[in-house]
Amino acid sequence: MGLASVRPLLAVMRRNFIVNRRAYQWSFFVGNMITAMYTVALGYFMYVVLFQRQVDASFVRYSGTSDYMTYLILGAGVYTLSVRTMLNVSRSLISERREGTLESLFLTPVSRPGYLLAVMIQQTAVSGGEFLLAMLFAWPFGLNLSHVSWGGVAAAAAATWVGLFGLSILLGAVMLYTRDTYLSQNTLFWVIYLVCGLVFPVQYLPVWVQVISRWIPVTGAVNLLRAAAMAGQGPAQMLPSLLFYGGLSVVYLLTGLALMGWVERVALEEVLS
Amino acid sequence: MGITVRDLTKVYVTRKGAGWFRKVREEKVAVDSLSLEIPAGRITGLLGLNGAGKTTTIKMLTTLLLPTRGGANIDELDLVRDAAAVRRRVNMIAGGERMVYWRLTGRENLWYFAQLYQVEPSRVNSRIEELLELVGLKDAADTPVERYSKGMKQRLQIARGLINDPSYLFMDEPTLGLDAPIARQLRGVTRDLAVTRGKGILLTSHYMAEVEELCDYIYVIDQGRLIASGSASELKALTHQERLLRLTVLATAPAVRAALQSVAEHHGARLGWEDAEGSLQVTLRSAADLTAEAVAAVTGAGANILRLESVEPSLEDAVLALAEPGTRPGEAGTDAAD
Repeated sequence: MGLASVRPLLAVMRRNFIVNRRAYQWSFFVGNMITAMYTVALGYFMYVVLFQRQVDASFVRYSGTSDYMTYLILGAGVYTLSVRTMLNVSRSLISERREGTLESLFLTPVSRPGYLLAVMIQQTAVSGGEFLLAMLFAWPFGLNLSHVSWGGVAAAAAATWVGLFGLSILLGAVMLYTRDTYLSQNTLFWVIYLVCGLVFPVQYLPVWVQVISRWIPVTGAVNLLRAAAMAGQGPAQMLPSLLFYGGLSVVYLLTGLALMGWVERVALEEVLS
Repeated sequence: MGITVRDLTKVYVTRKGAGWFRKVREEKVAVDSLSLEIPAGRITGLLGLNGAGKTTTIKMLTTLLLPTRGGANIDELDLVRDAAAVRRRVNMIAGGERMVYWRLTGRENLWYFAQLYQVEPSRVNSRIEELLELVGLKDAADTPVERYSKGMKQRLQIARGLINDPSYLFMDEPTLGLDAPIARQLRGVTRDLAVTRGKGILLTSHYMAEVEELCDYIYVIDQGRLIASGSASELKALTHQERLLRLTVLATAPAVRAALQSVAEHHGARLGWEDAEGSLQVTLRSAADLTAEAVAAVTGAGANILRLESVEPSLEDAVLALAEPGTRPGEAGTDAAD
């Protein structure tokens, strides 16, 4: 990618940053922090007060750890990261449509994947910062990173990034097609919260739900992060999982981009027909 | 150089509910085998009633919509195959307040679009200043657009449409809702863009006077089909639009009436008169301009003319007439210039 083709992408990032700052200021950030902290605090009180820091043997067998708080905090962090990223990336084009700027955007020679990539990068900076802050706030509740492999964390982050990008584009295509944001996004967020092993191992769920869970990139994201942060696995040890989830993420991404191209045409025609 | 449109067709396919679980596929032909030319350095008009297919045509020519059939060449570029390159050469200005970001300031909007069009970095700031000056938004350049009035938003949209210095500009009701002085200024700018800077412009507008003032050549479409084309005067002639000549003559003598009657009969004009306290109110309707003949007839009969008014036939009447199937001068595609 030449320097010239980077200019439009930097402009999209800057525009998004300005618009978000003026439109939402702190409200989105505070909302996300509260959600993450609420999940962690609720888990903490259940774990400490109700279960006196005891976990069932099945939990240890399924998760490979008895450190429930670190398990939970990382899960809550990935949930916050996923929701915040998907919210803004998926809604980028439908927001353009609602604000009446979709046509002026599509009139320009900027590439659609490039535009979405720019939105994703800008959102990653914001969501990544929020994720780190959420980890910092949650630390006193018992986050233990004494065995962390930073190389593994970096590899997990890369796979997570591609997975969330693909998932966001797919969700964005659904939103643009159905012209709905509320039902589609909240349904997906609830599914992710319940089936992706964020607050409890997926093995507690029915087998058919576990199959669904395996094919959602967020499951891979949290599994890889826990493997690196809690079990200290480096990229080499995680390679089979990295290849599977990385491949799955690329499939999501390519499917999302193909679907988005078709949905864009439908969306523009619907305005006129 | 220019845009050549060949058999451009757009069929919208929709699925409408026909019961709980059944959907019926419906096709709507919005543009039907449209062929036209948009030469560089000229302003071409595209007229038609609501739903005629004007906006769909513009959206296909700006690559926003894919044609179902047919196509166009923009200079040497193919509309569909070279869509990315076409986007660099064209832009669109539509009436209304949309197509700009309300959370950004006017200057930020223009900067943003300059980056998307990859305007030469050294030219970006001067181009923004030029355009802000042009649309009279210099003082409000750093105010968020959400605080702009409707007219200011529309002016900013005009600046956005010019940011990439397009070779071809599509203007869809550009002066809709603008104050008269700004609308007049925009007309001046539009003319200048075509005449001085060689831009090819396609203009649609409900203000027929605007179209008549600006457009060198006009295409009239109805239900997606081309029904006529030509200059404004050719279109009026095509529908036999009549000029109206009103005279107030300071005499009621039979000689004056006879002279006017003779002119009317000779040119197949419709003559009417009314006595009004020693004067005669005369109306003469004809496709030709009979001013000189009428004046000569009245003065030749020894009478004086107190008032004379010549009313040109309106383009609006011509377009309305063309849109009525029964009154069309010929079949679809009638070309006054042929």
